[in-house]
Amino acid sequence: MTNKRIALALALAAFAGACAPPPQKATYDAKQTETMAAYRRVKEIPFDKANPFSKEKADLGYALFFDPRLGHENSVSCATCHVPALGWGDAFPKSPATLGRTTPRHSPGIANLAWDELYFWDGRVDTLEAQMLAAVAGPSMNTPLPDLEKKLRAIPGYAPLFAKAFPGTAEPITSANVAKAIAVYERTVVSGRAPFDAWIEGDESAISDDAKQGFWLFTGKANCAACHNTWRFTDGSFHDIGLPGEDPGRGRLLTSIAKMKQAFKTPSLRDVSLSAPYFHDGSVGTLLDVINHYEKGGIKRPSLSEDMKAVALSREDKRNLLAFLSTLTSAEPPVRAPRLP
Amino acid sequence: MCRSLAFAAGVGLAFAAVLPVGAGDFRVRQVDRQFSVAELDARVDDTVEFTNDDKVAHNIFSRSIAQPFDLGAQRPGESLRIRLAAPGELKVECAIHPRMRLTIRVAR
Ligand code: HEC
Ligand code: HEC
Ligand SMILES: [Cu+2]
Repeated sequence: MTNKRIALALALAAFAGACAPPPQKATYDAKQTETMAAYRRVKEIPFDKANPFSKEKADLGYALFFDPRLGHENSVSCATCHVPALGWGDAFPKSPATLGRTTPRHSPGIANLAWDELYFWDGRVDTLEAQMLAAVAGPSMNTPLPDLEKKLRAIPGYAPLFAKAFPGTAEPITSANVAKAIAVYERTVVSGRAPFDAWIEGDESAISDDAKQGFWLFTGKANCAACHNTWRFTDGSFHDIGLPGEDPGRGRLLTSIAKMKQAFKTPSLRDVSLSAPYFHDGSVGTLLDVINHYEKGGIKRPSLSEDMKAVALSREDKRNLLAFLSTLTSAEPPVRAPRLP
Repeated sequence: MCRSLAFAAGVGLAFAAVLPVGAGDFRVRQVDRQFSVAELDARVDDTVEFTNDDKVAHNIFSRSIAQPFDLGAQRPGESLRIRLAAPGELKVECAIHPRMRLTIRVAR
């Protein structure tokens, strides 16, 4: 750049500075800056070493996830209960399953799960691969694994896809490989960028002042961040938040640990506006009623989490919390069903 | 980059945390929903003190056959101890936060 050009640029900048409204400048103290940094999105997805990412596996998993032929009488896919446009959950408190049955719990969203250690509301399996096999063979889809293999081998279009995803095997269409492909696909399912992310990355106009107040409540007085932390808004951990009901949750697996009675895995709050009804039993229909539950602090019982405490929330507090929660929902279009083989 | 920084910080903590505080005593902190160390080498009759330096509760337990235990809910700031009763490998977990894992190798 010549000196003349620099001078011109400086003059223009000065001119623009004089006329434009003063740029919105955020002033956050060190503690606030640190809090915000803890919610910044991460870029890399942790895949499983035993089942590393490949595009072929992810593409195959994408088809399998949406294919109703995997289920009972070719009528139910994973996406029947994990609907992309509904935050990857569904709108039933408990979902209709096969043979006139109903799922015992509410269908949770399946986004952002690559970062979790344990799966299902009660953490009863420790990989997405194992989770998938339980879903397909259980009441949700009612397809015993030998039948699953038979069905998929009978669809000519799947053979080349499996061969590409699992090269060098004589018969790649096995239930173990179905689980691997679907699990790899699921790990790629990450909630879209939301206005909240733009704010965290420095765009002060991305969310309203009410929503910002809501975030300071969420991470402050209301104590939500004790459990809904990181960019996923979950600790991937297990707490009894004092909901009514009889479901023993994680307590069925860790029977001798008092605190695990009626404890469930913290769900991510990304796209939470899309995923009503809420909680493991789908018992609460609106986010306002969720907040009202936390205001009261849940049923006092020995298993109630130490981090659950009643908190006085004004009407304005609740409005701000709701405004904040709505900024976690992405405007990106939901994933569409793929072409099936 | 972030990861290696975190790792370096972890190693720093580890040294700070494993230094025996008295003969046969170990201190393990709970920070950022992690144990400050991943592994410990100790002997029967040593004690391990767990200090909750987090802002959230923990619940340390072990299902190891040699010495199963449950320390119950542990609030921020609280310290709880165990005495190592038997030789072998003790896998220590947090019931609330499944990511927290600590292995204590107990020699005779
Ligand atoms: C009939 C409805 C239904 C169908 C079909 C279904 N699911 Fe689910 N899914 C559920 C319900 C309900 C739960 C929660 C069950 C529980 O936690 O006990 C769940 C839980 C999950 C979870 C655990 C989420 C978490 O946070 O731990 C994953 C992952 C999942 N399903 C994936 C799948 C896949 C993959 C398929 C297809 C092979 C599938 N689901 C088919 C209803 C369904
Ligand atoms: C002690 C840990 C803890 C605290 C504190 C906490 N949550 Fe939760 N949250 C959970 C757990 C665990 C669940 C699932 C509970 C269940 O279904 O049994 C949950 C569920 C939710 C859900 C429903 C999500 C869904 O998909 O079903 C929302 C929304 C929510 N929490 C928002 C909040 C807000 C807002 C606050 C603060 C006012 C808060 N949470 C405080 C642990 C916590
Ligand atoms: Cu813990």
